Amino acid sequence: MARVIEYIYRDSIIHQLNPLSKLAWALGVMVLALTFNDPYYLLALLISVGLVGLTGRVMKDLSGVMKGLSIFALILVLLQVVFYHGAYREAVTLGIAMGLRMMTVVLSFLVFLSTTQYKDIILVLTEKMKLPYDYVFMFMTSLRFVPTFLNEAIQVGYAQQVRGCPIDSGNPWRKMKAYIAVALPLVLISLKKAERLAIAMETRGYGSNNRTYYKEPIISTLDYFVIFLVVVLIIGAIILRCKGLGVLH
Amino acid sequence: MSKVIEIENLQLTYAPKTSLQRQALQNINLTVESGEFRAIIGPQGSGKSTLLQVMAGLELGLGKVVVDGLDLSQKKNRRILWQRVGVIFQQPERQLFEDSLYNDVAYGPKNMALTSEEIERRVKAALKKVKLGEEYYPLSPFKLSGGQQRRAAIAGILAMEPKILLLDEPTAGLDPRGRQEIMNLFTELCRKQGITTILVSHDMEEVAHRADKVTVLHKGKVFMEGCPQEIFARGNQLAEIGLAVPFASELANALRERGKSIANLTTLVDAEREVGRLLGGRSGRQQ
Repeated sequence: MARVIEYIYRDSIIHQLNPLSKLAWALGVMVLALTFNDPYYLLALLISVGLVGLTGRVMKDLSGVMKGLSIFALILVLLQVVFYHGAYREAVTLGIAMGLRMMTVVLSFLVFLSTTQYKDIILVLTEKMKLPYDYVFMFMTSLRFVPTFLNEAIQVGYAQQVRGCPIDSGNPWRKMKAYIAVALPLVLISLKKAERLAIAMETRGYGSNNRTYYKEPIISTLDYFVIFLVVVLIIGAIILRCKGLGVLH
Repeated sequence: MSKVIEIENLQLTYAPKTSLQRQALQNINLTVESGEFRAIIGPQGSGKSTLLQVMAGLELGLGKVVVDGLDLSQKKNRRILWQRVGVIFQQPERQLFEDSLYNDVAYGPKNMALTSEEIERRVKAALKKVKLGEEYYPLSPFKLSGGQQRRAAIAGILAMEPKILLLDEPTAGLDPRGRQEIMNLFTELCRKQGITTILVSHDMEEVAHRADKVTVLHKGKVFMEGCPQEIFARGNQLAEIGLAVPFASELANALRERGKSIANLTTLVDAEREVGRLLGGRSGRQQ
């Protein structure tokens, strides 16, 4: 689980695309997933996202996450069945639609993140989208620290386990109390890490001047095509939706 | 002597069946006698820490692992192992979390459900061993210096009075005196109280002076095993996998290459004696 959202280096056409077009694609998929609630439409969308992932040759690495997500989706279906007021059939359909929607959106962002380097994402967000660098950097850095943090959690967990910390005890109250012994050191370690990172960045002149970039992200014809396609799909989806297709009543 | 740790044909793979699959340990056979001081050395990424985690019951591999009579393939055995095996991880000061030094050291003993008198006795004894006086008891562990934090964390393990100590580079990052003191403490616990000690270390002088036996790991396999004299006499082989030998061993190996007949050396005291002998019976030590 610790390596869920890491960049996976592969040589593929998806990796070569401009981060902007991949981001547009991921956002487009999200809009499409929210537009429809017919399970067939959503299944088709999920398959298309899976195909993009296959083209990017990252599906094998994401298979573990997908397994976890499908269990989560199943729970969503069950929740619908139990709590939905109405026909049983309707509840199941609605649950499946919700599950598929969740999987589609999450998978599209995972494909985006695992085929794009963080520094390139930062670059397009600040240079092309004109977002303030500080915030983009902050957001991307926290994402980047998630795997490190999980690893740290395992280490501290081990250290407390050998002192008899009842993390795997059945009693939920004891379990909660046991987690303090792991959470507290983790917070302290993170604060220390953040401080060290801040010092390391300042010693290299962070925020002292206007930033310039060594690498200029190229927007190729293919990128324009992808963005064009995403826009067309979104407009098409809205038209279909207005005509009442892909929506269950 | 009885066997305290028995490992037969241990295999451990990280992230199996994915593209990140990595063979961490393969075909490990290892036996540690009761009261032994065993050192495990090896280049970075050779699987030393993983092996230690297997012995502590934190990682589960394939093969037979028996620690203190407990078969670690059984979950219930892994769950009670912590009461008998103390583990000191790299940078153990990261595990401090209680509001005072005293409470942090008492955390392990409290989890062992001991009486309050027994907890108090153990905490005080452990803190005395690591030379942290009573004036430190009420202080927050985070107010202590780096070296003191390390000693506090070690006391937290010693207070549980384990039969077996697993040490993962316990002196890394300490100053020379701190290293010496901590290693003296561990040696004393092993020699006087018979605590079986497994030390993972990069400090070859430390290994040469303290260990009864040395296991060398390389790429997840046992590369060599033997007493320090035997191991460090094979300096060339060790150099090939990126390990150095203690100064005395290097000296002995160099002299041997020049045709001198000299015993395998690991410590400076031995070196002094042997060099004295080579120089014609004169004692190396002159007052």
